[in-house]
Amino acid sequence: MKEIIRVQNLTFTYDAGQPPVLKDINLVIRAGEYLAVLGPNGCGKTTLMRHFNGLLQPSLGDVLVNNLSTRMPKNLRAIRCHVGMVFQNTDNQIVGMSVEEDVAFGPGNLGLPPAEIRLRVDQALEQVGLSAFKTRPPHTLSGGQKQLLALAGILAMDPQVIVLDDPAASLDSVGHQLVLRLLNTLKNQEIGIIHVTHNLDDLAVADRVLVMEQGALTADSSPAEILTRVDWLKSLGLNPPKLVELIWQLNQKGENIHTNIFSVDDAAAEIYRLLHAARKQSQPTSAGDPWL
Amino acid sequence: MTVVHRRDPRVKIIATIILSIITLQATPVELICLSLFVAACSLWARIHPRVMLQALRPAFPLFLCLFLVYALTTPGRPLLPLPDRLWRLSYEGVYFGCGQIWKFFLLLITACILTATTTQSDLALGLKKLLQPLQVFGLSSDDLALMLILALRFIPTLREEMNRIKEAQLARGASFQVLRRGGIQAIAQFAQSLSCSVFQRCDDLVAAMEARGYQPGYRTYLHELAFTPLDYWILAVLLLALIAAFAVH
Ligand SMILES: Nc1ncnc2c1ncn2[C@@H]1O[C@H](COP(=O)(O)OP(=O)(O)OP(=O)(O)O)[C@@H](O)[C@H]1O
Ligand SMILES: [Mg+2]
Repeated sequence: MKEIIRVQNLTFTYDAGQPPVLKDINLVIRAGEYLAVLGPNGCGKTTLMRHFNGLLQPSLGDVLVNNLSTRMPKNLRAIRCHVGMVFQNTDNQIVGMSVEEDVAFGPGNLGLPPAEIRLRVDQALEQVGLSAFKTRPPHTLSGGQKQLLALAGILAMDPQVIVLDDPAASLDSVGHQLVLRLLNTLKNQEIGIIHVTHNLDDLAVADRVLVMEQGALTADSSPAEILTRVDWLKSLGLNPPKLVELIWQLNQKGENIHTNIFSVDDAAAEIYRLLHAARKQSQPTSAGDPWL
Repeated sequence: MTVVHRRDPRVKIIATIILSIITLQATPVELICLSLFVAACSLWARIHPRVMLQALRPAFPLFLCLFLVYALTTPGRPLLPLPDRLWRLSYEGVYFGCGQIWKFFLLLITACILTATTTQSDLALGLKKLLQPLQVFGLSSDDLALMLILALRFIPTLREEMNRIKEAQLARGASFQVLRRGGIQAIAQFAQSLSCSVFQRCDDLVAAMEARGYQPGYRTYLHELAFTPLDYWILAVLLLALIAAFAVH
């Protein structure tokens, strides 16, 4: 698949003299990938995300988006069309006086004609399910709706990749489910997603997981592989999904259960299989069934 | 949405300015005509009298003071048989004062009709279009309009923020009385928290705007403004009225 973002030997320091916040990061992100990014607070996730659309410039190394370097000011507008970003605090990214005007801000910056803006705004609002709120002042929306609004504002720019910096931080679980479902439909439309999260349940939809620790990339692999390393995840302050932890604890006690089980259905089938086998073992003379 | 609501915001802004100029130099008869016209407009726009009153109320004390100054300091025939003092209520003073206050009220009502019938973003867009000639001096009217919109958009956020900080400080033991009575320290602390969070918000907002492709200068808008024939007629009539007013005086 086509590569969208390439990060080469990226090192970044906020203030000269301080230790680097990002240390020698190498990374390639391809079209349509769903990437989850994990890491403890302050490990540099937000800082890395801000490099993807040129809000921050590398101190050393390069970030290329569709082969355009973020170092060139003339590339920035094109790069920001390709890579949309939803920030941690949704309240502070609202620009418009009404929902539709806020969504129209991005397309307006591109200088699109009003008819085209109208088309994109209506489509984006339809997609996130906020069409009924078109004329509402944005500050009267709920937290989850503001998040959807921020997403709509990005979708209206027709990006190839959307970066979400910890969208769960300001959401209740209903709003979170709503956003997750939307991300899943976007993934089916070949839009790449980079999803910063603290919630390992979110990994279920991801194709690939990055783990950051103190500014370095310490893992880059599949969700299944990451979820087998329960000890390590816990040491990073991340709580594995209940199901994964259950199976991990059983295995600690000497059971031998497959570790790539992520749904209740799979788990039920596996447990049933084990119980069944155990029962067979305890009744070697199955000819005379005691229940009959 | 009435006919007044649907007028192009540029027309409404220009109308407000021209009406204000005419009002300020109107004779009593003209003032009555203007008042009737403005009253007709506000009826047309179906502005509820309570809304109008709410907008005017803060001005009442100021206008009362102004009236007293006019009434008491204008020399002329005494209105009441009171002994001569430094201040004297004169017949001319009351007449002149009433006229001035009436004019000021009329200005306020005109402005009130403008803001009640135009959304803030339309107002900003109208101003942008009217200020476009400033580009000659290197000022971008797009940026001016965006600044206006951002300032307006930040008002509810600021109000929420103030409440939040007040609650946080109360929860940590700052007493409401101290905040109310104006303990310097409490106020300083409050201002510090508020400005910190405002700067943080502005930082975030700038990043979010840049992330959505914002660069200073030209941009386009969801709503475009378009004059209708009626708008042109209104502009023509207003211009004639302005010329007539200048010709008469
Ligand atoms: N503007 C800044 N100036 C200086 N240092 C900063 C700045 N922003 C962040 N840092 C520092 O950089 C490090 C990484 O911060 P970053 O915001 O990227 O972390 P994060 O992984 O996003 O954390 P969280 O999960 O809390 O959002 C932190 O140690 C932080 O103190
Ligand atoms: Mg962060």
